[in-house]
Amino acid sequence: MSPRPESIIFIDKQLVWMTCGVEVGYQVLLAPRASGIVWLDVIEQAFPHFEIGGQSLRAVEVTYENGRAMAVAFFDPTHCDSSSRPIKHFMLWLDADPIVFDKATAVLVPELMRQLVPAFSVILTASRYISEADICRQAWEKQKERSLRLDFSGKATPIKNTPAKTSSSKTSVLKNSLPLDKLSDESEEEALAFPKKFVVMAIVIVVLAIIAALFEVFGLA
Amino acid sequence: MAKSIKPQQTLKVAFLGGRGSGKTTLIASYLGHMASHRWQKEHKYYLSSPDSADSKRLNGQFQGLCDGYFPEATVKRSTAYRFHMHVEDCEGVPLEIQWMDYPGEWWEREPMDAKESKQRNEALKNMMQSQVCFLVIDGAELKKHGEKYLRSYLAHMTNEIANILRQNNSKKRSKQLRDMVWILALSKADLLEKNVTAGDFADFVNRYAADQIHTLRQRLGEVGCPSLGMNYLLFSSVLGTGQKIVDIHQTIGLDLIAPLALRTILEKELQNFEQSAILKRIFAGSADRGALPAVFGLLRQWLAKWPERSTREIADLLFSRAESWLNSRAGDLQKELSIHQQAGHSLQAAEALLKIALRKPDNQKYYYVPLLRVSSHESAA
Repeated sequence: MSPRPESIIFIDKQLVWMTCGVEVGYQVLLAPRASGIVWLDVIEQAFPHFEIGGQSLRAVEVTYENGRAMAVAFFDPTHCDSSSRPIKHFMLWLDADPIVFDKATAVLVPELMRQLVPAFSVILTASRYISEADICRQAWEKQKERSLRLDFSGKATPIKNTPAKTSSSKTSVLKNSLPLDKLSDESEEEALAFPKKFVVMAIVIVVLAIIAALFEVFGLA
Repeated sequence: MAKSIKPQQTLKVAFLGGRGSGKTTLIASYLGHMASHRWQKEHKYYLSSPDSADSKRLNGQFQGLCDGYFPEATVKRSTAYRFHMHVEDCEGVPLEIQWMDYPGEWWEREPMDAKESKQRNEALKNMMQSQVCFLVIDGAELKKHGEKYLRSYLAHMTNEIANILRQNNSKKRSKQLRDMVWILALSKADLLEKNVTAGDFADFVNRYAADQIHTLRQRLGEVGCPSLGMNYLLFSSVLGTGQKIVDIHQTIGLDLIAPLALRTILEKELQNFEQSAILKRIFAGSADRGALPAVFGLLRQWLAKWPERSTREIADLLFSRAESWLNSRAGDLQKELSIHQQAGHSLQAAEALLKIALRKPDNQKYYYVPLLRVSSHESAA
């Protein structure tokens, strides 16, 4: 059995992460220090209006002034904000290994988020009146582990090697595991299955028929 | 791409509300419903978005609502939307509604970078040029935390609004503010009990947060806009449980937003011209006919508590007669609409349609326009 593909991202140099908390709005939580780049613009270039759409995970290759990056966006698998909306995560993996560009859509999100729990817990529990700078600083301090291992599942849809600028970003958006599809699959199964109540009724009728036959044969009445 | 048509009137509305208060859901639901054939068939008008990108985005969000998903949180950037009203059998665009969506967190935190700061300032400046400002109270939060939420939220918004006004306190800006109407709008009304009305909401606000409203009014008064807290609206963009959407078609108050905005503008005009308070306003014309049912409603509530049964019954009979007379006035509006439609007067037809929306018995419990505001206006003057 071949080992699961993986790659390492160094948090200090290669990770830009924007997310929000239960009470606190969206902000860049972790990013390389003193880069001078407006990361928000790079993320927006990949995901117009910062929207993920119906997908559970979107991945777009983007270029920024010093190189290329993989931009991924996904909904948090477990956490919602105070209005019950799933929390969104936007990440840039800067100058990552080629495998990251090939397999970004197959990244194992729960495993990824498990490694970022220390930093995420800061924003997740922060009050809405704490400044962005304070949250960043605390997250930076709490995230002791300075590297991130990206694990990928076997399946991945290849991503076009085009920088995400306006319409080209659409071509590299990948569609996989739509929550809507899941729902429709479930309802489809229900619709096709033989209704349980009819099965129960059939069993009851058969049992009654057997009892009636026994009465008839042995003259128990 | 559709040919650009110049609208005859422009209505600029602003929704001031915190994070997750329902601003984006409202805007998606608003266009999604009002652009449908179903809506047109029922209401004799429909809306369209003249901008292709906006149409695509909002219709995408509405489709998400239909599939059971609330729109994603608005992050960091604002978007200005335009909606065109089209009246059945009439050509042209009688009314354009301008509406801005933005992240609610702008009321809670400092901007992240220069670009966000610039966008935020422009958006807020733009909103201060609106004719009608809806101050959105989150129905879910109100249900959960009661008056504690209401008081702290109003105090915070007062502070923020006052800051914006101070920053933009030029003579020109003050003049614009003087024409602005404020409506306290309770979102997610589907989460409240079914019999709750806008009048009940007004009572609640006045009972538990009168001092906050007074402070806000005072701050607004300092820049020449002393009317906050005098109009109330309940709205709900979908029927949901707070987390899940149950029925996209069961909305509350959506068709009241534009009519109520227009009506309050007209009333503001009346306030500017009339000195004698209530009676003149009641008989001021078609724009203010909604005042009569409000008076009847109040009297009816008062008489319902009358100890003698016979008196109550006579009063009920009288009010039933009066209300049926008022409903016949709604018939007049229908005739008015038909005449304007036949003549192709789209603006007048649109006006009649919006008045009809306000006159619908189902809608009347979702807005409340207290009559006594005139006295406060006069004292402020």
